[in-house]
Amino acid sequence: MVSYVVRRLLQFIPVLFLASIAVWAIIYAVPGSPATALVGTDATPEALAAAEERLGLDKPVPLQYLQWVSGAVVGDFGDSAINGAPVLGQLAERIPASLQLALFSLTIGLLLALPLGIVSALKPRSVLTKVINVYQAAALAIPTFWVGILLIIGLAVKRNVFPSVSNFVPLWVDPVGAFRNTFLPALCLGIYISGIIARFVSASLKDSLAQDYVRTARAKGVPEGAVISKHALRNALLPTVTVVGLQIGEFLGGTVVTEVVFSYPGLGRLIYTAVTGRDYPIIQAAVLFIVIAFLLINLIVDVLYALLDPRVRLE
Amino acid sequence: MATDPELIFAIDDLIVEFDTPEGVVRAVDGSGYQVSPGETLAVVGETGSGKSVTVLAALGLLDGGRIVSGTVTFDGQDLLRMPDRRRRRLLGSALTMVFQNPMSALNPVVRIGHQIAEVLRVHDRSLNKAAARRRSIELLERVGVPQAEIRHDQYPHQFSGGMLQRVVIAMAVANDPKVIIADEPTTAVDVTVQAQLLDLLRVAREETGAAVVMITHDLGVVAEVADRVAVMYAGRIVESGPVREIFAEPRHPYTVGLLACLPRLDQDIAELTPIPGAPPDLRHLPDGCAFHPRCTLSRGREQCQEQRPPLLAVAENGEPAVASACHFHDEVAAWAQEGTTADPDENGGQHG
Repeated sequence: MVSYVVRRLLQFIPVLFLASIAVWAIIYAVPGSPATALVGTDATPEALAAAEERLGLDKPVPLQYLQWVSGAVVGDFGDSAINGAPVLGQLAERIPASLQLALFSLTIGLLLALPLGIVSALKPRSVLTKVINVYQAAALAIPTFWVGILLIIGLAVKRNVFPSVSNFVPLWVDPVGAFRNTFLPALCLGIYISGIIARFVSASLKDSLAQDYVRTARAKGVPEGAVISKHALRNALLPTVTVVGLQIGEFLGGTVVTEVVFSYPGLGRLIYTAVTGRDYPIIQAAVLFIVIAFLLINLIVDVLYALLDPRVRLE
Repeated sequence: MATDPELIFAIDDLIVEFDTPEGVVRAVDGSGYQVSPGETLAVVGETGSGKSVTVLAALGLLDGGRIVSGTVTFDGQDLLRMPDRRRRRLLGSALTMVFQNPMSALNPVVRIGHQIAEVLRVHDRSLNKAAARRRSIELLERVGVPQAEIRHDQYPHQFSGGMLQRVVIAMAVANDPKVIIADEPTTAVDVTVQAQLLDLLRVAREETGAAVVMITHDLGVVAEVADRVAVMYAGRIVESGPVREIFAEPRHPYTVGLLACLPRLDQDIAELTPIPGAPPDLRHLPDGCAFHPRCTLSRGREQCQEQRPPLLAVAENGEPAVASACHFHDEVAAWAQEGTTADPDENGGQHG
């Protein structure tokens, strides 16, 4: 297991190398140079040249990359093009906020999805299941920003239950404040993923329930509750782990819209402001972080899978 | 019949239907059989004849089907009409099953030993973990799993099919059952392992004194293990009786056909004779005798096409009696004699 994890971590190196080229090349993929974005289109040629020099854009392209990447490996992603503060520091401020939001969202998502998925698998023909199916489709189809705005109007503006602007209050500093501030955006994201996860739980539980070993358990006289929880559900959760892992990965960087709607100071909003301001050093570092996060989560899912399913061997 | 104290397990006139998009399928159409303690009954029939569905329905393990009518009696109690909780107490303890495919019958993510211990602890709440472990290891040893101590903590994918079926048998005998129902227990394993498993089941029966219902399509298995045999066709029992008598003198044309499909060592047969035609579509069962479209004894007689023959005792000399569901059971012997020497074309022309 340990050697497998080490080998997988070593495999990250080529992936990260390729990713870093792609990430760095973002600058050239977008029309207009970062320097133009910085000084404005009306700037004098001298001002433009000065900005280019400051950003290092006057040097040959491979050299620019080498400079950037040699800084990146030691955690130096340069300074923000907009406010001049070190990129790493800004990232380090936002990542815990996004992690906390991801944790809250996932908890809410699972709390909603597991019962819904289980009920619709156990009682596929009931009225409740039809309602759940509608919910699942709606949760997937309705955009999160719309749900977010409705939540803000309903629970923050009309009734002052939650703040309309969600600040980052670390859970370990003030749990109640953290809950109050993170709940609305987390609910918004939780509803969204609960649709996907419930569908997975339902499909794989239905599949497990039709397996021979479930019939064997019933023939052994095992009470129905234990048949479902000990035999069917344990097997059904295996595919669910994969989906949940992918969702976490998406959350770490992909909650841009929700974070903007709730003015939540997470990684997503940092990326949003960086993109609108053409703050390339920030974008590059943030995207690279998301790549690393995805790689790590995939590794964790694989290890978790091996722990849950004895048939899977990590060789 | 069901009140006979001699009988430990009896199914009477069971009808089971399934709703499918193409219509209602009557998979079991008035099937029934009985076993006495210590007796082995083989239920024989083709795939789709309703052998498995009958027992699954009887034990309340059916997925999706509907029991239309019938009674199932176990040890004087009505299995179909008792509360689930009471039936659960019988299942796995006094009334156990061995399933067809050992590879899928065990939970892939639960240790072998835990799966055996589960059947012990579900029926004996006072059994603690350590004692359950000891008993599971004993059971593994009893069914001939080597290195039981190590095997106990392994997972199903680390076992061969034959070894898994031993584990399934261990679970079936764990609580000293009165009836063991084995649903094609040797179909999914290697031929070399089949004999060992049949032997194991025989020993299990002798040790526990349980009645065994052996569902199979393999007449070789029947000859080897069964005292009595019930032949099933299209959801009904068409013939039943002591194995020896049925093999020597079948009283139903379908049984004759089944036996003619079997290669024999004691006779020189140039070709095996298949039964002409195909098993009936269970959505549109023919009127009268379900076998009549394939029956060369019937020769288009109206009685076969219009009246459904009941299963009636035909031989009074033997005990228990042979019963046949054929209008012309007294003609079967003579017809079978000529059938084996008859022109192949007359016999359906399906050689080849």
